[in-house]
Amino acid sequence: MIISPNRTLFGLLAASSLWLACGAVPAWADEPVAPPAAATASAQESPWRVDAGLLTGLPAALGTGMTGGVAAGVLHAGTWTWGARASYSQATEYTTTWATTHREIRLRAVGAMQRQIGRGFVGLRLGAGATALYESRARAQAARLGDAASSLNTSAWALLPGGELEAFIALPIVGPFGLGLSAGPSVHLVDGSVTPGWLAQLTAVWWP
Amino acid sequence: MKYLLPLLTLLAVGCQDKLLGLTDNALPLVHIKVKVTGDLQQLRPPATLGETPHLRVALVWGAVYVPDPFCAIYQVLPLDPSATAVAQAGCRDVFGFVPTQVGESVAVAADGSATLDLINLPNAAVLVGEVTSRVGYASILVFDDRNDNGTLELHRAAQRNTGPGGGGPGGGGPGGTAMPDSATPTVKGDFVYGASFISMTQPDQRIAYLEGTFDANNALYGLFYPRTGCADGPTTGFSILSAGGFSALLGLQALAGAGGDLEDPATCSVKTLDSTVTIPLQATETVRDVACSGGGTSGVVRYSEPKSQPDWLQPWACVPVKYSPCLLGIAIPGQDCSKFDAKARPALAVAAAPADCKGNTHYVLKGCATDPNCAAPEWDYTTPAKKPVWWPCDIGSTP
Repeated sequence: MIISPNRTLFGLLAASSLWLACGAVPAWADEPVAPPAAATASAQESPWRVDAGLLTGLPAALGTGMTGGVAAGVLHAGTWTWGARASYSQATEYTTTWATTHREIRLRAVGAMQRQIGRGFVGLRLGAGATALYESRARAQAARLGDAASSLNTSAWALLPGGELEAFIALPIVGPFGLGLSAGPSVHLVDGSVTPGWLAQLTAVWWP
Repeated sequence: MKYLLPLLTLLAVGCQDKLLGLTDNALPLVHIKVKVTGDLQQLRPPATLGETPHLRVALVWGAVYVPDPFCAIYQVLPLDPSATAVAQAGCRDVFGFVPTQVGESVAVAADGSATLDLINLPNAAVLVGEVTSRVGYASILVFDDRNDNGTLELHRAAQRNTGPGGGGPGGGGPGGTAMPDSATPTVKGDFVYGASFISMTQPDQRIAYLEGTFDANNALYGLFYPRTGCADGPTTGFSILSAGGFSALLGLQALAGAGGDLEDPATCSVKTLDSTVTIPLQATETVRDVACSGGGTSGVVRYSEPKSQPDWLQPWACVPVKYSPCLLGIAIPGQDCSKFDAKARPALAVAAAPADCKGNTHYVLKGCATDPNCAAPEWDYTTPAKKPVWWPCDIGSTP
């Protein structure tokens, strides 16, 4: 039997969601969570979490390859855990006659649910927003012809609706600083079609 | 917050250019406009009149080619009638265009027009020079694609002195002559009926491709289809160069190192690809050489072992194995012609039987494939016991 990676991933995320929703200490609980004695006090007390780091994933509209870049975000844990994220990444892929580069700026509003395990946090983060995409296509060999063939190169802008559902871990390590890791499936609406993808981020986290 | 997502969605719907992604729509880099003039029907060999002609044009890149000295000397100079007969029958035009790579090809429209769309630039193998300045020349060939496969097949000379890799199927031609040393062609060969660049001794329109800037003083360019005397060289990228052609004798003197300008400046021009290359149709016999590849014989005479008698029905001659500007009576600094023995004739040159491409064979009794005076001969028939009874030339181990 062949198990689709996407189905497996969504299955895991669904199970995680259920686990988080039924957990003893959801982040949106009215009562603040009491930190374990060993946990870093500032990380547990601050409702804010700021992170920045590296991002990789499937390009939103290129269909193949890996886009890589930087990402940053902020999350506020309260009655509702919400926040915002932004990232910049780019990917270049080649055909026999074109080199296509997609530069992506992803802007997301996020909502999350998380629970504390030990000194760290695990959760699910749902992001939705838009991806500003700049496509530049360079005709192979045109550079050898100089300016005469530069008109063959093309560029285009697009703003694509998109979103991600990421599982994340945030772990305080030293004082208010720690590491975050997240990954999950993503979707974009490209030319009217839902285009699936994936995303992963490794970030440094600060609890101000 | 509650307005953000609808706003972004609206923006997304209304703000998309068409993304092409990895769509491999191969836009041509340049277009070359061609006009073919003349009546093909009147030029077709009788044996092909039953076929439907598929007239096409093809961009063919030129090889780095230096004619072998035997051909260069005896084709141009009437030094020895029998050797000249061999050179006329067995040597291609020594100043002719020699193809190496066939590029884009397109069918000729009924009105004689065609546009070659170049998807790829020529590769480095057909360019001469360095990465900062290198040039390639191409001829546009008009041909009847007899096997209708959409491209031009180059022919190769069926000569025995080409060494490994030489010879090979000729691909047919008028009369479909069988090749003496190769398999019978299995495909119908294409017939060439015209070319924009046939020979440097004729008016030509060559397609030039230049990377970097052209340095007229570059010695390499002086050996690669030279057009010295023309004031302007090719421009960066593609251009169409024209020249009126020079005499074979002038070219031979230049080959021997005499120097001097070859082309009449008044006949030279450099045009952009906005111009149309006009090619008149002509009898295929007169232009056949331009579809014959060089076969790796550039600049050297290759020698064969006299294991069997040649075809005496073809022109043959006893010729030198050492060629020198002294044969031409041209004084070259540092060359002492008093020591040159112009009378020694230890090689037997035989023209190949008529076929698509001309060829010839040089036999020597003793020597190696590339040097009849090599220190360790690959064969030696100079002893009385081994010397072929039919050998008509000198034994002369030291020409």
